[in-house]
Amino acid sequence: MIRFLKTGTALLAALLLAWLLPWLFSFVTAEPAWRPFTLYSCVVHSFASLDHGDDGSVVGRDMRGNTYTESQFDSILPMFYYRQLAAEGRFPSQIEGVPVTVRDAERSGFIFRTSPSDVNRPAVGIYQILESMPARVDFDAPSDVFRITESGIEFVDMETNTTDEAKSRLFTEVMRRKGFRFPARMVAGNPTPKKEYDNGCLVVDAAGALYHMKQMRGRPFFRAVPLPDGFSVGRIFVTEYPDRRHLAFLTDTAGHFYAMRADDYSLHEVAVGSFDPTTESMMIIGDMFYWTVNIESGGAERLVAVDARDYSVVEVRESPAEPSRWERAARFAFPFELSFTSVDDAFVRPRVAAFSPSALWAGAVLAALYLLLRRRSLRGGVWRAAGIVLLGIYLFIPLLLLEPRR
Amino acid sequence: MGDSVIVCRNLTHYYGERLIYKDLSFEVPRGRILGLLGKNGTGKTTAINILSGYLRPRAGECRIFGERSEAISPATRARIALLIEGHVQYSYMTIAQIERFYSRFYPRWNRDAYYGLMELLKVAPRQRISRMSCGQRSQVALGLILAQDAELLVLDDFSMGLDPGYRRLFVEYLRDYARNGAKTVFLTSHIIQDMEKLVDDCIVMDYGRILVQMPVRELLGSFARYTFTTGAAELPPIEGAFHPGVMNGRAELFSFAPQRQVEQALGGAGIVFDGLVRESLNLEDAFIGLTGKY
Amino acid sequence: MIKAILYKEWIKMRALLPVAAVAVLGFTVYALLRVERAVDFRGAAHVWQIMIDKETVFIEPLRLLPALAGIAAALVQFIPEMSQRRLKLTLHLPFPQRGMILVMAAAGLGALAVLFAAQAAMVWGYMHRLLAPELTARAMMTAVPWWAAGLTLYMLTAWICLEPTWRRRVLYLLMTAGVARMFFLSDVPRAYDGMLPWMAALWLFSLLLPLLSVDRFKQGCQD
Repeated sequence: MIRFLKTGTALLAALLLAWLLPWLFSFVTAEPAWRPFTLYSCVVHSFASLDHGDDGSVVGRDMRGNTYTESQFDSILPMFYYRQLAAEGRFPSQIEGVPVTVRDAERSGFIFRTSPSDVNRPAVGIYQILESMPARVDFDAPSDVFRITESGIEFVDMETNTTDEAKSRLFTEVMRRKGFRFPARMVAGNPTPKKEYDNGCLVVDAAGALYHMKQMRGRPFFRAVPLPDGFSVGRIFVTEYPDRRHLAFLTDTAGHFYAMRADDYSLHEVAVGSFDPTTESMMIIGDMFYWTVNIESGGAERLVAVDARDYSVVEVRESPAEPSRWERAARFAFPFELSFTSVDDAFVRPRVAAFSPSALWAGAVLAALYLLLRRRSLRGGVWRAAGIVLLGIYLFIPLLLLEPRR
Repeated sequence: MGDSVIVCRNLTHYYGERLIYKDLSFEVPRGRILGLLGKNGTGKTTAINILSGYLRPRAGECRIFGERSEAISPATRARIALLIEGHVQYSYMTIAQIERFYSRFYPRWNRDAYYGLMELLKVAPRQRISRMSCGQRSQVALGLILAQDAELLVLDDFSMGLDPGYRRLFVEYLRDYARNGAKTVFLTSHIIQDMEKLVDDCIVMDYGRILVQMPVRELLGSFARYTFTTGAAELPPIEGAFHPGVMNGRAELFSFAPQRQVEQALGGAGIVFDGLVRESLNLEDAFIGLTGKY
Repeated sequence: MIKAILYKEWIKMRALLPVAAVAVLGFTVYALLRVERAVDFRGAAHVWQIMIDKETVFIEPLRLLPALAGIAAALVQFIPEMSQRRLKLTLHLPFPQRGMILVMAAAGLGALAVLFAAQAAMVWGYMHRLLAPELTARAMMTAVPWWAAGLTLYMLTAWICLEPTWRRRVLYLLMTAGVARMFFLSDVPRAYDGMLPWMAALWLFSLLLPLLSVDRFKQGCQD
């Protein structure tokens, strides 16, 4: 019993160190990571980024080796810097032979962002849907919430905490009639009243089929969205951008990324490469000509320029993650790292990462040092020595502190 | 041997590098009151800690009622009353609460013995023990010990903090209690006068070893002080003599040997002496004779 | 005998328990009253909306209380045992020594459990009438690690108190600080759901830790 408790205490101390030492190490050695802001230029047809020169001045560069002043940089990205250009009277009248106005730039521009920490959060399990056709111009905040259970959809009035039986029955019937299989597997939407228009919700049913649901004058609008055979929905991001061209961005479980058109529910793959919203973040800065898609994970970045008109990929640039010299040093010191939180999600749970076989050497040295310091024979200290080889400094420190010299 | 309540064998203990004892062995026979005497720092409390299971010696073992002291069974612990150095008790309780608490643990609990002693205390029933004087607290602790009606009493420095009258009272009380109930008592005290009236046997400890273990009567009957005049300024080591010394031409030594034998020893050591006188000792003088003044 | 042990623990704790109860339950009432005020002024829908949009469960101000109650309970129970090494008296009683420590700990854990259950009942009792079960569950589940912190830190504080040497106490204190930090890494509702089995394992282990301190006490370890 006592031996169990002693072992447990040493291991508990080792686990705490496995958590806190790497944290402390990276806290002390952290260096700012900075990547220049990069967009695809519809004028020079290359990625162009804004960087700081050695003297602190702003320098624009494209990937062909040209440099730009700040004002030149504005003009190679007219759809992004349209306000600056318009103010200076420099907004072009046509791009790629297509006549454009400042209004076009304003309406077609959008920024889409998702990050793993947005996606990986504890869900509430209740949702809201706006009234898409409010009596007045602005949307009202919903007064109820809904859940989709095995028996149907249930609307609950927030003020009274009671189920709106009539509305629930009405929606359930319509959904059933359209072939919806209860319960819902996924509900996606943006139930904020602070937007220009409402695309409602996209709902995946128990069988994996996709449906579009809106509330119009208190009545259900519910429609099945045709999906290619074998398509399995990953994540859905309903969009409500000013050009109203798309209903949503979505991924499938195989890691493909799609844009879904609002007019005909047509699904267009955007071949940005494998994208998993639970582990990678994505930012799209788009306009009517090109989208610059930036996918980031673990310090690696992938830039993809997409032609907005036909979703074809125009250019790809990848920059891999470069571990800093401190990170490389840590690989020798720490056999693994324990953490409970992650920048990629909002959950607290133990996660063991950064396994490093190179740290076994450090562990072997520490084990020998331990046997020497504690004057133990290899035979008498074999378990402890083996533990130190495996757990390295994490176990070395507790054993020295918790076991008296004999 | 078979009827010893406490048997300690070959105890060796260090505090850090400092040796407390090496190969210390002793026994406490059933029905006897044994006093452990020693100067400060000779390890009296250490011995009590070892035999009550609160210190693991480097080597050796103690057995109480045949059980190893570090693993005494609850049933056996019920037969042992333990008085901790400083008369420590649950001082956040009142005398009534503490009695209620302890009485549940001991089947032979003697409530009247406890309250009999508490009546002498003149404390309010709701007064917490921590608010009492040092002497009063000691009396509460002793009252609890007696109420437990154990077969073996282990008392560490029982007379500490008691005023002389109460000390005398308690010594008498304890002696009657032990004799009538055939109790075994193992105790330490730094006031040796008390011990003389109380203990049957004594162990006198010096640093790291036992000087004597014998019945007090035997010790006082055989151990004596010898004084004589001599011209020598210093005495050489003399066989069988403890702490020989000379002051102003008057020499002094202590010995278990009868006078004739001391005379022979002095002669054998080549000491010229005159007027050798043998004096009987009380326990305190005997203790000093054995252990020295310093 | 168990009754007598509980009686002694009760004597040690009885000054603390009303204070802890007033603090924990008082703050709970305060937190719920704040929700009630929001309902009065802005309507229940506002409260729902904030819970859904803002990742809050309104009882966040209570999150340290169970931990503080746990630490305080362990201190009032076990410091008196260690001052003047009174544990010698306790371990000398004719009761199995490990059982004695576990019964003492059970007394403290029981008192804390009653307190936390009362707190949980108040929160649930208020919220389940006002909110959808999903939201009430969200609040309750968010509070579970706080209660776990109270019960675990109680045991770890007992472990520290019963340890006989200061050198070790400092080491244990550092470990306990690390463990305590683990319970408060996130304010996101239900963030700890996946952590609960690990917390339960840690708590089960912590139940036995005071026995390690007692073993060292019995060996006579000293500074």
